[in-house]
Order: sequence, then C-alpha cells, then structure tokens
Amino acid sequence: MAMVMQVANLTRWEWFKLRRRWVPWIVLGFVLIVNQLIFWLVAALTDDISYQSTSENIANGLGFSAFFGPFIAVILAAVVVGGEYGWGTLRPVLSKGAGRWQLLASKVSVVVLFTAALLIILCVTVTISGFIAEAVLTAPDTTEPYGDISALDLLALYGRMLYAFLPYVTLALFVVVLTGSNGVGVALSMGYYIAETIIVVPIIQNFSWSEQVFTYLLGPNVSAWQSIPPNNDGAMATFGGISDMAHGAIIVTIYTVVLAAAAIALFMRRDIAGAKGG
Amino acid sequence: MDETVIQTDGLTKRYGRVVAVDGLSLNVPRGRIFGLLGPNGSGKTTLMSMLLGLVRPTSGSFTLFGQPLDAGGLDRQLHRIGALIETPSFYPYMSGRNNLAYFQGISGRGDAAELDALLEQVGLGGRGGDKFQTYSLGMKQRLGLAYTLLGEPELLVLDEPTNGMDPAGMAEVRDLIRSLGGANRTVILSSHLLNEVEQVCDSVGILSHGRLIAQGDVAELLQERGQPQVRIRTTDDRKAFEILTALAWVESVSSDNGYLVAGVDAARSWEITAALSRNEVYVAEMTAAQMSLEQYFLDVTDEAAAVGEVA
Repeated sequence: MAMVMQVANLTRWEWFKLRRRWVPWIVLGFVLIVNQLIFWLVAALTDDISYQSTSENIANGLGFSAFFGPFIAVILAAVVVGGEYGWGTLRPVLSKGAGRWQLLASKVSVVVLFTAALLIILCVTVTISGFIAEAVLTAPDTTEPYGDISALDLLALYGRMLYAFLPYVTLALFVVVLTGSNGVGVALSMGYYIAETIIVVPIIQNFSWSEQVFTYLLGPNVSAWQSIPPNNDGAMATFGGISDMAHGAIIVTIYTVVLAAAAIALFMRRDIAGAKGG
Repeated sequence: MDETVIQTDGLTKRYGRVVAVDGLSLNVPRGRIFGLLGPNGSGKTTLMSMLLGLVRPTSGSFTLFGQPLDAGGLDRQLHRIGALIETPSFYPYMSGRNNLAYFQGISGRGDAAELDALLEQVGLGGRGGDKFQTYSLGMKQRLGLAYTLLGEPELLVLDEPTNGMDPAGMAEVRDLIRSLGGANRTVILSSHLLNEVEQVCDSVGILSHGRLIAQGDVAELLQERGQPQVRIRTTDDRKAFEILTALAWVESVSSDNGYLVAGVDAARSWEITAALSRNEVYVAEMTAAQMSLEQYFLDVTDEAAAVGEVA
C-alpha cells in the first residue's frame, strides 16, 4: 500500500512538471487542429456527418485517436523520461529517495492519464463539431458507418483504445532507458509503428507465409483489439483476419509486460550519469 | 544514537579495466564536516554516487546511519540525506522555487514556508521565481545548496559546492557550510580548493587512484606529518641560506615565495637570529610556520603515485 501511495504521489508531481512544459500542449493543439480539419473536410465533401448520432460522433473521435494515439503516447513517454536524461535530473530525483521502478511507474501513469484526457477532449470536440455540422449541413444521410452504439460500447472502446497505447508507451520507455535519449526514443518507437503500418499489409497481401509471423506483430494486434465497432460476436477482423480481439488483447499485453519489464530491469541496473544533453 | 554515519567496507567500482574506487574502507563519524580530497579521477564522485545508490558497487558494502542497506532500505535512508553531485542539474523550464517545490513534493516532507526560507538562506530570495535556465552557475550552485537542505537532512553530501561562484559567494557558502555542520548533522564536502577544505573541515579523507591514502582530523594529520618550520626574511637571503644549511640542528632549508623556510622548531628562533647576526645578516621577519593542507595533500598524493609506479 505504501508503494502505491508513493507512486501516486510521484505521479502527482510528474503532472506538476508536465503541465509546465510546452510539449504536451503542442501535441494537444496539433491533434485537435488536425482532427477538426479532417472532420470538416470530410463533412464538406460528403455531407454524411450531418446525420450521425452523438455516439457515432464519439466513436469517430475515438477512431481518429486510434491512428494518432500511438504517436501521442510515444512522444509523451519519450519526452517525460528522456528529459530526465538530457538535463541530468535523474541524479537529484533519485537522490531524494524516489525509487527507480516507482519513478518509471509514475511516468507511465502520467502519460496514460494525459492521453486518456486527450481522448476525452477529442471526443468532446468531435461531438460538438457533429452538432454544428448537423445544423449547418442539410444533405440526406446515406451511410450508417457504425450503426447504433451504446454508451457501454463506447466506454469499452475508450478503455480498449487506452490499453492499446500501453505497448507504445512501454516501447518508448524501453528505447529511452536503453539509449538515454528522448530523440532516439521518439524516432525508433515511431519508426517501428510506421514501418509496421506500411509494411505489414502489402507483405501479407503478397506472401501467404508471412501471415503467421505478422500474427504476433504489434500493429495488427493493436488494430484488432481496438477495431470500431465490434461485431456481434466480438471478433475483430482486420489485416486479412489474422487476429481477433482476444488474440489482440493477449499480444498487446505480452508486448506491454515484456517491454515494461525490460525497461525497469535496465533502469534498475544502470548507473546514473550526469546530463547528456538533447 | 549511531555514531558512525557512513561506513564502507572494501567498496570497489570498476568500469571495465578501470578501477574507479578500489577496496575503500571509510568511516565518517556523526556531527563532523568531513572533507573528501583527491586529484581529478581519484574516485570522489564515484564514491559519493555509490553512497546515494546512483552507481552500483562492483564489490564491497556500506552502511548509512548504522543501517545495513537491504532492498528498498537505501531509498528510506535517502530521505535523511541532502546531496549535490557535480554540476547542479534541475528542470530548466521551471523556476527555482518550483524546482524546490517538486523535490520537496516527491520526498513528502516540508511546506511552502520552508521553500521561502531556504531561498533566502542561500541568497536567492529575489530570484526564486525566475526560470532555472536563466541562472548563472553561481546561482545554480546556490539553488543546489537549497535543494540539499530540503527536509532538514542529517547528512549533507556536497560535491564542489562553490564551483563557479565569485569570491564573495564562496566565502558565504563556506560560512553556511560551517554553520550547517556539527551537532546532529554531518557534512561530506568534496572540493579541489584545499584552502577551502582546511578552513571548513574537521577531518579529511584523501583519495588517490580510487584508494584511501590518508584519513583523520586535519590538525592531527598536519601535526603528525609536518616537521616544525620557521619562515624567515633577512637582509641577505643568499648568505642566510648558506649559514642555515651549515647548522647541524637545522634539518632543511628551502626557498618559498621570497622566504627561507628552515626545518627547525620555533623555540630555537633566538639561536637562528644569533647565528645569522654573528655573520652580519639580520632578520627582517620570522614566523613559525605549520604545514598547510595543500603541502600535505601534495606530499601524500606524490608518495602514493610513486608507490603506484613502483608497484
């Protein structure tokens, strides 16, 4: 219990630092602007959005964050951990008895909480935009992308989204602890995410043997786990049907646990040096 | 109450083939201001970092406040320590006050009044609201000192705390350190400024190539090693040098910064005066001299280097 309280206290103070930095607010502003641009571009081109329900708008917002979420999670995780290496502040922090794994846990917590809040903000803005679009645009509704989505479904989807970001957070954490650089952390983690996204589909389409390998990659399983909306039987058919939701959840969990354990093990063993810069 | 604040036993740290700290056994008693001296690369910062859990020892062990350090035990003891290793590193985008507030928050001790009092104490009362990145090196050192004093620690570990300060600032910090030591609080001070250490510290440990080559009270070390000396200025130093060298009871004669330094007890000053005046050389100035910590340091580190070369 004392350790949980310690991590909670450290998380509170991580937020004290994070809210004074530019990066999270730039990320938030960028995501909101891009989100609104896409929303209104689609609305202007199709007029379909005008007749979507609130729940559909929220699902839209979550769907949008499915793509941007990993970027946000990676950038924040790398910045939150990497900054300490760059400024050499790990020494004074650990010298105050913060505890190594407790410090990493608090950093993951603050990244997840910020990302969770960002998802809510995204959903709220998309919903508001939906109402505005409905008032402005008058064309008849021709599509019904998600059908009727209950509040419980939305909540579950929201939870799945957040859970799906965890392996990206721990990936960035591991790379930053390994290299001691937030720049390298962002570059490698994003590079991995983009490479998977770009490479997986064409390879699967062209080489049938590759399906077994890609069943265990992160990207396809994350997509399977957070697909919108769930089918009636709960199965997620994505990337040629290589993963279902349960499989996706297991793979996402394995990646999260293994990367987090590797990052913590490395961080616990490493000597702490002074400032490294950038 | 435990009387030994720090006790190390065969503490060793290797970086590949380089031995940074070599089987070091050290005792620091409570309530002392302990100076840690050594040339660059002698292992001072590595030793301090090991005591704070920042660097893992390759072998050996240590206790803090008489407590063996089991898993998690070090983190508990760190709440009793204020430490500043090398250059002060804080969050550049936050003010000095917010930096202190953060460190106070994570240690879970103290209140807002403590922050203001500490900023005043280290001379940053008017600049606490400015961002850390706008501070000069001297101001950063002051903030570092305020950081070490958060939560009224029992042990202060200060690595070159006056680095980058102007002479007035250095004198202020020396006074501050002197006022902090004693009673229940122990201070470990690492510094290249031997004069500073001599003025501030009660006892010292001297490191060379990762090994502890001397340890003890400053006065006792100098007394043990330093032969009595007399510094003399005369009307004819060249002739005086020849006369003193010829005296069997003068152990040594050398020149130092416009003075002759004779290896003789100050009680025999009158005999020196008599010997010189018989040869029409007259004393203009004569003082009893004690070996300085700097001389002592140079002697013992040279000896250690010579032994190392032979070995």
